[in-house]
Amino acid sequence: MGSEVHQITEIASWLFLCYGSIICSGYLFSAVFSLIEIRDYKRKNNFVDETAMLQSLNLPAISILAPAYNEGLNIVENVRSLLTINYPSFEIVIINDGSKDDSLSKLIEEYELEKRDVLHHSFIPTKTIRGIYKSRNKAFKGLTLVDKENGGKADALNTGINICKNSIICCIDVDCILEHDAMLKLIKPFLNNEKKVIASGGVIRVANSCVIEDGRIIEVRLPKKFIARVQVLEYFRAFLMGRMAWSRVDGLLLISGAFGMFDKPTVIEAGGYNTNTVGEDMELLVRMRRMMREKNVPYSVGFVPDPLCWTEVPQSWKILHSQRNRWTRGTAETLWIHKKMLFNPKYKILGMLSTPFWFFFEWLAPIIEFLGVLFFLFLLIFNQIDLVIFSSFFLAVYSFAFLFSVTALFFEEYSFQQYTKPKYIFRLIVSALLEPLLYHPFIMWSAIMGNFDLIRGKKKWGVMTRAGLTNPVKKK
Amino acid sequence: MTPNLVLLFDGFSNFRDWAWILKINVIIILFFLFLTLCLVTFIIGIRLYKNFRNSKKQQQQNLLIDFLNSYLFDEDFEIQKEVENFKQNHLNTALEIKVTIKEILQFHKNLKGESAKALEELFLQLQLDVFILKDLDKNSWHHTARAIYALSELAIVVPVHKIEPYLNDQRDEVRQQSQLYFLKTATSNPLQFLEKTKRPLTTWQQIYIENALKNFYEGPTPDFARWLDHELVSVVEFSIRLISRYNQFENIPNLLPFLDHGKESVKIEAIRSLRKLGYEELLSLIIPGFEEQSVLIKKEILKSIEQLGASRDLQKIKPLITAQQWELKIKYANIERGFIQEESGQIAMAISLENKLEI
Amino acid sequence: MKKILVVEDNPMVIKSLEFKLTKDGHQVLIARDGREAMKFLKQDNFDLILTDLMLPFVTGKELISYIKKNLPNTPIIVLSTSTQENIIMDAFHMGVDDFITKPFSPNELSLRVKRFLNKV
Repeated sequence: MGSEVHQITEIASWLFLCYGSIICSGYLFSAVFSLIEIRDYKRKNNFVDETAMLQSLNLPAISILAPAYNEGLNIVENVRSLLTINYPSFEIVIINDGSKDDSLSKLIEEYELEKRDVLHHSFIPTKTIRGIYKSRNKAFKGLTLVDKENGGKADALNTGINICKNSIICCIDVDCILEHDAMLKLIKPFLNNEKKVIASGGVIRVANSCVIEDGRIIEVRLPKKFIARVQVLEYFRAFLMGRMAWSRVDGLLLISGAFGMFDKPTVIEAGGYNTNTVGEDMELLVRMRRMMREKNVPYSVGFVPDPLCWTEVPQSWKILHSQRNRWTRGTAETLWIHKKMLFNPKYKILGMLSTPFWFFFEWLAPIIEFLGVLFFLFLLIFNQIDLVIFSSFFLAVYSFAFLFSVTALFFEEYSFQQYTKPKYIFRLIVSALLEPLLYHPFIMWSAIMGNFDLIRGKKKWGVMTRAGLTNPVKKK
Repeated sequence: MTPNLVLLFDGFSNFRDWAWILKINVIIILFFLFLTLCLVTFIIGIRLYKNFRNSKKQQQQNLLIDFLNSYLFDEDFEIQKEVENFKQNHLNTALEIKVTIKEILQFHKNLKGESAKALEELFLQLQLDVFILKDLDKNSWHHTARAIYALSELAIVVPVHKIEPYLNDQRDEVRQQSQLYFLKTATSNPLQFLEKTKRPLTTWQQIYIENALKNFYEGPTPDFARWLDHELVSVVEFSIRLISRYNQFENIPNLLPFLDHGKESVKIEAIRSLRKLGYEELLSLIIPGFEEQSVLIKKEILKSIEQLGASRDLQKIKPLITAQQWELKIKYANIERGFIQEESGQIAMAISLENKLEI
Repeated sequence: MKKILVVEDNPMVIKSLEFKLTKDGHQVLIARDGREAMKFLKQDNFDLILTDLMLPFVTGKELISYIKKNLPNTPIIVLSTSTQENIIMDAFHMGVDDFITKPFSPNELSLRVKRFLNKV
């Protein structure tokens, strides 16, 4: 028994080292790519002249689509803040997805809306539309409100796509906070490319604890709660390192559902958002890319690293659990729907790099980790554990995790420095030290439960109750 | 691994006897910790440095806002003395110079007329052009592009050979800034640089060129038909668009051949341009071929009917829209609705007029 | 002395306007965003309002619509980056009295302001 266990340990060590070094080198590459990409972006950004863009007749008109479900608490302020976006020509389409609260009546009253007879066609089939509203007041000319039966976020966005006028659409969460120049920045990839651009995405930032007034960030602050602070680090890693690097090699698979711009004809051709998955944002982009590849049309997907969109992240463990549970199911469902692409050289970088990455590192990693823990327990039970070796492994992983977070922090410092106070940096470093011990196991567990729920056939989105973005600290 | 570290390992009396995996792990851990430490020091370092720099920057900016406003609008301001004073005391470090250049450019961007001219003079009086020219000769693209930008913004002319090579540079930004340089400093024929342009004009570049043409260039408006036979499709499309933006009605005959151009995007530009010029014969040229066109062109034809035509033009199209083309059908119906409202409006007016007359 | 409300969010433009208009002998009140402007409009009376269209919190258009409804005799001059015909037409349809585009010439602006104030 002893020698067998020894052999198992030996093999496990090797496997562990291999997996570890693949991950390390992957991260190293992504760090280098991101660094180059961010530096280039910053340098290019010096030459953006907002005036020239605002005066231009050449910028395509855009339609901003914002689905709302029971957002009555803040909907009036959120819409007002959307109206102040700087862009020469845009319309805002709010889709009331059968809210049970007073969202609809509040909007109708505040913005002097009235029912209008608007011709439209269901390019993508959706739930029934109850009414389309426009304003009597010329000041709100660009505002449209669609009232429909409840059908979920994907269905609401599809309704918006059917109704909106312009051929560039920007899908956002109604409660996220956009920088005033968000649209001007996000449109740039569409103008700069000689290839057809089908979508562009931006960086999402964490708004918790920031000072917010009427839908605008007044002062950026670090979240007070540990759980939200760690998500700040997570978002740095995901956006500044991960997606930045993927964008460099044009292998981006996910544009966050909270904030992304799309070419409408391509979205319609691909069939719109999939209402049967909880990962509709990722699934749509993958489907669009797949379609373009199969049609053999050259195209690209843009990514803008500026902090353009701020959103509230879960502050309670329970809600965080359901969010991560959902993300896991979304990833798994998307990979399953598009399993044909995995390791398929026909899809080039998508088939050979992006989908395998998502399969092994996003979906499989928590499972492998979980098995590792089980294996450890097994050895512990049979008293076969060499505590010194075990601790060495543990410390190696721990020091890597810490290094990785610190690198992401460095990227933030190098690029956009939203957290300007030195004490914020210090607190982020402490959070990075604690994350692998206090936060990560929970995330792993949520992912495992996500897979478990998926097998059991659970389709629920999970309720995201929001603390509301109104802030206790208001400065005048 | 430095010899020192190995020595340190030897300090662990039995390191050589450790399991291989343990050795590797320890080395990895130390390596990671070392990197982390470097990064943390670096982060704190740049944070402190940037905070310091930002406060200096802010100081200089505040100083400049007062200085520039007084310089521009205060008649009692002793220009000679104050400018000399500013140059002596506030243009000593690289940062001060950088901020000053940026701030003057910023002011310049928001103002025009005499005030803009005054700023250009100030720039030269402070001898800031010397620094710009130094930047121009640096070997990195972003310095070059920035220098060209400043030159063009303030209309500082340098010998042509210093900028011309950048017109076909690898970098979009350098190309764009050099294009804008030639445009903004030109006294006539502002788009001459197109002759030397070999790479396609992106929409992004077109936005800036058009903007500079409208807001900077003061000479006679060029005849855009000159670029209609350019070898780059993007330049041709751009010229077609500019013809309508500048109301060059005399070029209408030159645009007509593009209605039969092989490329969809060029055709669309031609239809749009002629429509904006209000060319009424356009409908009789495009309606007959409606059926064979792509959806995008059909949409443009419909739009043209909306703006130039009447119900009877729309009637001609009706049988040609197939049941499945929803986008076109909606467009058609909306235009029809508009026409009917217009007509009923006219009828209502006629009736009320008749009523009045009878009474 | 005539009282002018300037609604503008670009600090550089604010400074120049404040400087120039004060020099011309007017009393200038600055609102840095639409919300602040709304507050001033409810508290005070003005002889002229100079406003941008793209503003934080409340758009210039909403301000114009409010002024036209509640203070219909106050002249409004729009100072905006937009040069697009449809945007300018929309503004005139809403009842603004003049439209100046940025970049602007401070002297010209000062003349137009004087013209409106003399009319009132």
